[in-house]
Amino acid sequence: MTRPPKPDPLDDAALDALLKAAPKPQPSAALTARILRDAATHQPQTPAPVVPERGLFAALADVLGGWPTVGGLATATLAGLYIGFAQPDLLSPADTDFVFDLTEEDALSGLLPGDALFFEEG
Amino acid sequence: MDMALDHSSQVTDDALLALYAAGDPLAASELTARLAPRLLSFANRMLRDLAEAEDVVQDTMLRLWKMAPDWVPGAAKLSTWTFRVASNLCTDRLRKKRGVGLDDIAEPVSETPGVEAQLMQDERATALDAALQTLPDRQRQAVVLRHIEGLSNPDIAEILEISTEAVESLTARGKRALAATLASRKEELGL
Repeated sequence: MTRPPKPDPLDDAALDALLKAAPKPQPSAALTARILRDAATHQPQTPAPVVPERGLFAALADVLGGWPTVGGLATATLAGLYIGFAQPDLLSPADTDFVFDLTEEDALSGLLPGDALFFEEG
Repeated sequence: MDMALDHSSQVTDDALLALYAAGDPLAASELTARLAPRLLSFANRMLRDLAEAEDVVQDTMLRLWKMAPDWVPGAAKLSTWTFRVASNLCTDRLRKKRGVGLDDIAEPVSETPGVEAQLMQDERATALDAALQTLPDRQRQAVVLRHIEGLSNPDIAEILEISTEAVESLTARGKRALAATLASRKEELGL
């Protein structure tokens, strides 16, 4: 009694095609919902952003128009102090007396006829 | 963060996990859409039980959510990591099922309705599943990951924690065994 011959094995191309065509189940809506419920349960909670309290100087700066304005004011103040302390003789009393004692008549008396034309033309 | 997900195909799995860990509400949904289908296909092929395969996928994703804050981007491929977890979970379940005979395991549920034209395709799928079940677990995992899920040999090596050469050997032996098992049904299946 002879055994029937073994059939030839499936060729490689046919096997590859069979494997490639194997059906793949898609996750059901219920499974997706289960997964997402777990995700929500275990999602790390991010802390709420901390808003720093506003200090007195920050509030004052806002009233004055912001930090650029405050910076400008500070610079002008320091410059004035510097000029006042470092060079107090820059303006002599004679200079200031001239400004304060000047009358309208004095101011206009020095004008020449050509000056009127200059003022008209701008 | 929502803006990034508008172009989600360009966002890496690593970046999505980082978004999830940072509290983004949409990242988990996108990661699930990317990872769950392949994990389910793999687990279903390993376990031949859709309900059990679903449990494995849920468990795998649960572990992913839990380790999200500790994930180091670039240290490993996220998809490979999830396949490794799923693979281990399947192996655990298969070990527990060892006492159950193959005949007692439910036939896989066909995902398509019984349309006449698809009868042959269903027959082939069933025959392939039955043939896959005759392979040792490691061979089956390697063949499914390589030839059904389309993963690379280095990725499979990482999942199964073996060398690339060992993966090549497993898949080659697995395919030879499948070809021999299916030989007797070639004509019946129109192969």
